[in-house]
Amino acid sequence: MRQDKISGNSVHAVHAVNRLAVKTGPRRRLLVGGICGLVLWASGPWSSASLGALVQDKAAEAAVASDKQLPSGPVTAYVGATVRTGGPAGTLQNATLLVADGRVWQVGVDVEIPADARLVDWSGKTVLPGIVDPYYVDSSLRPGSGSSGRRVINVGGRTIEIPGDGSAAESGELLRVRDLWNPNPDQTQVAMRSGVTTLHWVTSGYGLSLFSSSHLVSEGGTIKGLEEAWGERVFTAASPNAASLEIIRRGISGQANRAGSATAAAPPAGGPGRGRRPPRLEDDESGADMSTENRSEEVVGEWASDDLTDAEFQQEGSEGASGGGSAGGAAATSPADGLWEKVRAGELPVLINANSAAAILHVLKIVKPAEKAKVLLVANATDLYQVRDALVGSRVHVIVRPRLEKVSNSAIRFNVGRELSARSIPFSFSLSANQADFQQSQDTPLFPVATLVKTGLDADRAVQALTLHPAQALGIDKWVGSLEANKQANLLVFDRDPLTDVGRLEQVHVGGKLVYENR
Amino acid sequence: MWEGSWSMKIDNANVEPRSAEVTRRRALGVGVGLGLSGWVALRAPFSVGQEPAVDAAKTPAAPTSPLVAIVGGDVHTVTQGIVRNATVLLKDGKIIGLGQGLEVPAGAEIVDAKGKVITPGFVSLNLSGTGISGSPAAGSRLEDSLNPFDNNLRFALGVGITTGCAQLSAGGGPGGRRRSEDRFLGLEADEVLAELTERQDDLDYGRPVSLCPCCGLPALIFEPIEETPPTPITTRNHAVIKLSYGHLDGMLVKADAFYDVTPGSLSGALNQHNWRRQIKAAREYLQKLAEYEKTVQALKEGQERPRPPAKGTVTDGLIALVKGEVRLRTRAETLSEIRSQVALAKELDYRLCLDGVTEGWLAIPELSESGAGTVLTPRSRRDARRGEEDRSGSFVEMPLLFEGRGIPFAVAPLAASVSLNGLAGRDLTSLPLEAAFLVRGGASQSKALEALTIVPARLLGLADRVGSLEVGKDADLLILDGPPLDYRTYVETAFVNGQRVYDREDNPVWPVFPRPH
Repeated sequence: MRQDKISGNSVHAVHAVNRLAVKTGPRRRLLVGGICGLVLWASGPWSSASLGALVQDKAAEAAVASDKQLPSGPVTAYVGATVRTGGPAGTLQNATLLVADGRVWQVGVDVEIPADARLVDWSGKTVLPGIVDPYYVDSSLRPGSGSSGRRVINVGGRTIEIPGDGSAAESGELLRVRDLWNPNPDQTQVAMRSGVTTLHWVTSGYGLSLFSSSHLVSEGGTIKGLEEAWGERVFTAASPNAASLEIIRRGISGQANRAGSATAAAPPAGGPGRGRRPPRLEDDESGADMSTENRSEEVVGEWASDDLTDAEFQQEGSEGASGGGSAGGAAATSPADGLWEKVRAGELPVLINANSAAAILHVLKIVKPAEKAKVLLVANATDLYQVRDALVGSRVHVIVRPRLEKVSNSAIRFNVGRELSARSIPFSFSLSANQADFQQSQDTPLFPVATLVKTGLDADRAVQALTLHPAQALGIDKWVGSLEANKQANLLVFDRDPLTDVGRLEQVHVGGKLVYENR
Repeated sequence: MWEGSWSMKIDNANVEPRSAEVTRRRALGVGVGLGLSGWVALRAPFSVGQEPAVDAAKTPAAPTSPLVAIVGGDVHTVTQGIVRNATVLLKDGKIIGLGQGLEVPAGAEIVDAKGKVITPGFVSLNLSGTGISGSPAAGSRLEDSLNPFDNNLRFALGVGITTGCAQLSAGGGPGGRRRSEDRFLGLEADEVLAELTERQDDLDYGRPVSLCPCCGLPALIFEPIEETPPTPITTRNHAVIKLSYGHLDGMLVKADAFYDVTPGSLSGALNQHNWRRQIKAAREYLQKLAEYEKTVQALKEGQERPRPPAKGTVTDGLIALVKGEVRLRTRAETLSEIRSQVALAKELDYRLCLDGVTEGWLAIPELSESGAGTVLTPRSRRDARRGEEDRSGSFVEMPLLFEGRGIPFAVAPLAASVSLNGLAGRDLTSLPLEAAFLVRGGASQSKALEALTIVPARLLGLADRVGSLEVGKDADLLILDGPPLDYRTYVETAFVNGQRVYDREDNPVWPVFPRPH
């Protein structure tokens, strides 16, 4: 992107990013290089050819460049604004913000402005970090939406297709946003106009997510702004049924995480009334193809022929035998497996969209034993209110739509941010949770948040719930989430404080560039 | 079996004239309580058989909770009489103390119930569309489908239901689903069969008298029936749940409490023939299994293990039925249906739970002898057959006759779900009202309360946990603002698993307004 400008010696960051490059494969080197360019604001001459030579340094930390170090590119100084940094510095009045090479260089009240800096007077304005939307849903990201959720089962040699209900969580099909995404720069305009600069793309159902900036640029047939180096995250949906909860249960526990067979429910508790046979003692070498054959537990009623129960018998027999060893053979590895492993180790979060209060309780119960796992629970405020006490001490991070909602079955309104804060439950806001809201309030996108601040949510806490906390929860706070040195210069400029007043969004800067102006 | 004396005692203590007395009773709650008080220690009036202790240990207890003391109420224990001005102590989901003048430990949460009536939570044997989301597929994890935030739970709690048996699947028999709606010449199909069997003394149930599977006409089959292995009957699956609104833990009590079949599954000669074979197969399997286990125990090191006996078409449900762990539950309305089920149960030696039993007043001796549990709906009516007005159809005084002969009866409302029909007093929320209609039909107040509590608990095999207020049982209880069977009574507070899950004031599902009395 701006490799030509980069000079210097900050090898650490190059190394850190290069590690990601190795993971994502050589064909993405070029793009990763672009990100290196973003990461390194103080670096020497550098090209993709020198990448190998740079992989020497042992430190994997991000560039801990000193604030005093001079940037290579031109510096822009924004002065006079109230800056809500989102970081530990809190809110600064009449602050100075120095931006260079697409990153924040310095921010503070008594910052020395370099002589050659371009000065921009933002007196009276309020500046916020670009909003990070941790759950940016594009439900159109579905392969052949007509056939989604269909299941093919094998009954006594016949194949029968059962139409699904369209929910991917039901089918257990793994969706990869990376593969389904249509990289069209126009589609992120809505987000950009609302001040959302970092998007975490998910879709309904079960899948792997994708990060992007809201400022996508088409250049020579490729799309810039895709943050592939930030990796993927697992997301799934939870509702009170075995099919959706089994995906989470298997992922969190790491047991028998077979791709595409998540609908195969675990054996029931074994009450009377269900015709089930015990596993055979001898290993049944029928060679049942486990990757394609569904458990016949799903088969009910008329199909329960003798053939079928035999098939079930064999199926169970072979499963019982393969329980200890690796006799499963066709245990397909899914791209999600590695991510689930990191989820269990606490390295990466998992996003679980719970569709009801009951689903939240189910999720809390399932994730309770996984002490390391970082769970980002996406839920609506009304449901959260119902389970607010169960959330205390549950270690989940909540993602919710910022709005005054009503208590279930009543006309009483409550402030979800305040309720969560009061119970020390970490939370982030997803502005896009309601698309209609999101698109209608583009002139004053933070109005719903301001209503929460007016009714008792701390303003700085609200800013953090929009920026730093989602970035931290997703593990991308090294790059975005607050106005701190070295982070991307994603800035929102409001004509007045949007958290205490009706602030109009005037400008959006991404990577130090003005990308949207609200006239 | 039935002891009239104690029932009178209870009645005297129980029946509160609900008039201008009410306010006075409330004012003098303590004094009256002390005056009439005392343990009316009684033993269980009838036995619905020894229920095996089920799942009590397995069910997760509610999380450790502070001690709750409910003080000053008149406690209807159901199995141990009424304790006036009593203190009930709840801890960790169980009743840990019940009696007069109990010391309330320091730090306990005290609930003032002076002038209130305390009863066990009611047990409904039918529950539909309440607490379970969707229709979980057989074999899937049932607990994943629980919805502790279902609003219908609050409606049901508001009338006192704390435990319910939810039907999950329709079920059906191999012989098609003949229902009593199938009519022939103005007669119901089963009545045609009944007339054939009842009027010709030489025809017994085992003879090949059946309805033609194609046209539904009664047919005498003269050709030999081909031997085919009996297809297992598809049972209706149940889940017994606690109505623990807002709490997932401890909500699922057990998966299958009955071997529940549609009436059609066991009607007709062919079906009954197959049924006999299935029961026989199940018993044979159990016998072989016992022998196999004996052999395995006697094995020495290095000896080859024999193969375990094959189950064939024997299902776990069938085994539980044959072992006596669950009852066969089916609907039996007419006299012939009742007799047929009772005869089959006697012949094949399993226990029964009969729904409906509208013409049960005509089968008192058989029902009494069989030990069958019954589920009555006093307000469901059935017309008498023409020419047999004195020995068919429903009869309002059936509860009196049942009580007199010690036939256990639970009560079920006209519908199993919460619906707008509740405005007319017909849905699930009319359960206590339905029990009051038992009293109208001659049952004593105490028996009617038992029909809401301990009898269904016994039929479910859960009498060790719910259905009465005793130390050690689950802390499922109601604080009522009046006698439990009075139509004016509201549930003020409901505890399930020791947790306060319903408060009338906080849950505007039932109107809250002062009554002028």
